[in-house]
Amino acid sequence: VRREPCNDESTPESSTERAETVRRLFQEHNRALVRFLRARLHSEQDAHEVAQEAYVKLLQLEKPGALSFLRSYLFKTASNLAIDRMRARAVRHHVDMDALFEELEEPLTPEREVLAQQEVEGIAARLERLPAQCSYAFAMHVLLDRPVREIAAELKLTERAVRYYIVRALIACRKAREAGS
Amino acid sequence: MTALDKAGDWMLRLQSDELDPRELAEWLDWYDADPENRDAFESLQGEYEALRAGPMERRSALAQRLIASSRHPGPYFLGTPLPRALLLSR
Repeated sequence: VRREPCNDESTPESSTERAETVRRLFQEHNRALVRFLRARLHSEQDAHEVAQEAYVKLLQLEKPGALSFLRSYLFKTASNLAIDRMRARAVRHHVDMDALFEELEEPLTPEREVLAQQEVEGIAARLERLPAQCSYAFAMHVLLDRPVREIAAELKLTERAVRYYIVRALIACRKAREAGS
Repeated sequence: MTALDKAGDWMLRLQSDELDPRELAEWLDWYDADPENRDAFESLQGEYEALRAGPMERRSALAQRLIASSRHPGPYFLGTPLPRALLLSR
């Protein structure tokens, strides 16, 4: 029996077909998957590692479905793995590993320190020209990790409005960096 | 809304614990639809990560400075323009 090439509605059966399906998923969606995981984890390295784990889980599926299902499954699995990693990270943080690694980090040279300070000054100066809510929402969320939901409740705004302010600030930072480089 | 505006909004929505599969699929469609969307998303995500890189002390100092200045806002504060739709939608 001649087998048709895998299409979106086909159901892979053999391990070879499954590997081929995963390869296709990787080719078509890995870039988006890693970007999605970077948004969740704020770390490129963690994002790549979690993406790899998700592909391994996909290869181990006993009854894989159609490609369209597998894409959802891949992102769902990756999202769950990202949550596990964030929990593990929180435990690490609890025992103050971050402080330990910070001590081990190579200190900045005076030249790099000056450049970094100039960059911060440029960004601060540009952000201070924005509406107060923009710089406040940006500082609370981007710099201090406060969830958008909490900022919205505090400022009595919708979450969408808070996101709008943060994005305006981020775009201003990008412009400041471009102007400085 | 420009591609950068949309990219930034998506980046923040993807961070939410309440992200549902339908929203994720919508983002994937948007991300894959146009190289301009992809470039905008990756550019803003790069900016976001660059701002969070480096020692916590520097982030904290910048945050304190911005929070302090936002508590003593200039004439901008009351007149901050906000699109009407943003006042009503989630």
